[in-house]
Amino acid sequence: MKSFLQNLENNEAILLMYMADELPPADKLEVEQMLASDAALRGELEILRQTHQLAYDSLETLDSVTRPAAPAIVALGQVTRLIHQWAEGRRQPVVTVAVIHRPLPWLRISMSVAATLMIGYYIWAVYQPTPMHRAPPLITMDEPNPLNPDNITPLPQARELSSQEKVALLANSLEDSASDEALNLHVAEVAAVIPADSSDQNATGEP
Amino acid sequence: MSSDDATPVSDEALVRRLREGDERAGEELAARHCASLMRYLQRLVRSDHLAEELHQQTWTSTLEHLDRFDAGSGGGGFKAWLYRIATNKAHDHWRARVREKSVKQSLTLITEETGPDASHRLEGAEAETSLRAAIELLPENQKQVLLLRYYGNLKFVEIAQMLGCPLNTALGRMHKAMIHLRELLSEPQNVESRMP
Repeated sequence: MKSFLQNLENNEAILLMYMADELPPADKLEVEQMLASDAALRGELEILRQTHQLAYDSLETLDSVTRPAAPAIVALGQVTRLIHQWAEGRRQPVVTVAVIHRPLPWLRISMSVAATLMIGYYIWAVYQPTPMHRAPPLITMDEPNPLNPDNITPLPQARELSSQEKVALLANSLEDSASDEALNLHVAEVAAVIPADSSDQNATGEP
Repeated sequence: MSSDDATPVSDEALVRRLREGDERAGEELAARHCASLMRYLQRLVRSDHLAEELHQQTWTSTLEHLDRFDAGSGGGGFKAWLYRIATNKAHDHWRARVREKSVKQSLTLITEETGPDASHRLEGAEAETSLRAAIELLPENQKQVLLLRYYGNLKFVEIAQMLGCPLNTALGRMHKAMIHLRELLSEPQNVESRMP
């Protein structure tokens, strides 16, 4: 069987494992035999022990002169509280969802099928092309093309109102807001200001 | 005297009882490991406040994952598992701090986190200061093995497993940590000259 010592790279590793008492009994015995016969190895072990002791003493001294990060009782209290909370959480009853058995399962199934069909029909109907979406009909030679400018009927020519028509229009617009007397006075004033033939000349387009 | 009085109940047995709802078993576990775990974190992260916070996080995480703990899986006992969780918490914190630092450096802000905790600097004796400084000056991977060995009293095999390195590497780091510490303590000027 392969010795554990063969896995260790050097004397320091072997001696550290020996000092820590982590070697299998057979390997430990072998190391003790080597130490008994090798003075240099014994010296090496002694130095290692002293160094190890120094490191441990340093840490021990440091711990004795420095206060802990938190007082021991406080730290322990915090952890104990965590443990109680955790245990309490585990004791909580597990919430289960009760399955409700409804009667008439065939009715639910048929209603579901019907609802699905209706939804399907609705979607189909929505996506059907509407008349607005259809292509415009072709213009045949029999019918006049509405887009041709020759086929557009001209609107009647705009005409300038005569002075009498203007007065009548003004009288109509003021009818609701003014009394009859004031209205007649105002109409008379406007009629006096507008010359009788000027609008007629403008209406014919002559200068 | 009964056999129970002669041999203390193992951590693993206490874990079993705690899982079954025995809170006193949990209290016993806490009493066994609280103080040393706190000291381990205190030395590892160099901040009392942070050590306390990580200590709580470690226990919270331990309880949350207690059902997953398997003593027979070969990963060491409960104590090794507890210290592994604590070490991971510290690593998570360091990673987060490195990210935070890089962001802060890019913004050229001066942070107060570069030095050790203020409470450490204010505390007294010169010997204590140089001791602490010597330990703090150890390379992180060496210090970790030394602290796990001293505070956790873990086996080297467990430490190697925990840190994900070969056994020889863990032993080498322990050896170097001890030599390094001896050198630093034998020549205090080394410590002073290397203090940040």
